[in-house]
Amino acid sequence: MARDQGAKSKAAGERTIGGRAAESNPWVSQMRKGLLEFLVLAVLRRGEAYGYIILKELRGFEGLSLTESTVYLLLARLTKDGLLRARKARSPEGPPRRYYSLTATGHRRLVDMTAYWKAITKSVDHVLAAGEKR
Amino acid sequence: MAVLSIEANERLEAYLADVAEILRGDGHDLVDIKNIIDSLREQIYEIATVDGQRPASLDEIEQALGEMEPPDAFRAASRVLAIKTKNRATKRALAYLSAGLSMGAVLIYFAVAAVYHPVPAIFGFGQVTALAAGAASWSEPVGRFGAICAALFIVGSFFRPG
Repeated sequence: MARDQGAKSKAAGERTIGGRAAESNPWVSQMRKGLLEFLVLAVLRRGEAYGYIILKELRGFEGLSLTESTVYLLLARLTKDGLLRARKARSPEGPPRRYYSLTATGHRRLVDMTAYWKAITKSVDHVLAAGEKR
Repeated sequence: MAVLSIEANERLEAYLADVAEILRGDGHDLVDIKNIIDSLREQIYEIATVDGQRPASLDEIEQALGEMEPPDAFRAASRVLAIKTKNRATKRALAYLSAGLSMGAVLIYFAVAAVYHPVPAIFGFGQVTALAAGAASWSEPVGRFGAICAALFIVGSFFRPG
C-alpha cells in the first residue's frame, strides 16, 4: 500500500506550469522555498509524526512536489533551530522511528507564520481582484 | 520487527552510505546526517516490508529504492533550501593547519630545546592555535589528529622535567 502511495505521489510531482516542468521554473522554487518551513510546522500542529508520514502528507498536495531530500533536510534544520524536538520510539516495521513535534518556539513561529500568511494572501487576493476589474 | 535479508541489507546500506557521503561533502554536521539517514532507513523499511513477518528480499529493496530519489538529490535540496553548512574546504584547511602546526611545532620544539632554555613561548601559542584549528575541524580525521596531538603536547608541557 505504501508502495502504491509513493508511486502515485511521484506521478503527482511531475506537473507542468506554463509548459515547463514545475521544478524547472525558478520562480516556483523561490515561492515554494518560503512555504516549506511553514507547511512542515503546520503538519505537526496536530501532534507528533515521523518523517515518512510528514512526507506522505505533504507530497500528496498539488504543486508542492516535495521529496524526501527536502523534507528530511528541513526536519533536521528545524530541529537544530529549536523549532522541533525529536524522540525515538520502537516501530513494528523496522528500525526505531524518529517522531517530531513542535517545541514552544515552534508553536510561536507557527502562530506568527499563520497570521502573516493570512494577511499576505488577503493582500494578494485584493491585488489580483483589482487587476481583474480593470 | 521486520528484518532484511543479508543482500537486501547490504544494498540498503550502500544507498544510505552514498547519501551520507554527499551530505558530508556538503558540510552537514554528523548529527544532521545521522537524523536524515535514520529517516531514510525508516522510510525504505516501511515501503519494502509490506508483510512484516518475513525478511524483505533484495528485489523488494530494489523496488523501494527505485521510488527514492538518487543520492545527488540531497545536494540539490541543500541548495534549494539554502541550508548553511560549514565550507568543507575551510574545514580541511583548518584540519591541515592544525595537524601541520602540531607536528611541526613538536619537531622544532625538540630542536630548539636542545639549544635554548626555556623554549620560546611561541611554541605554546602554536600548539594552542593547533588545538583551536583542530577543534574547529573536528569532523575531519586530520583535524582530530591535530587537535589530539596539540592537546597532548600542551598537557605534556606541564609535566616537563626541570
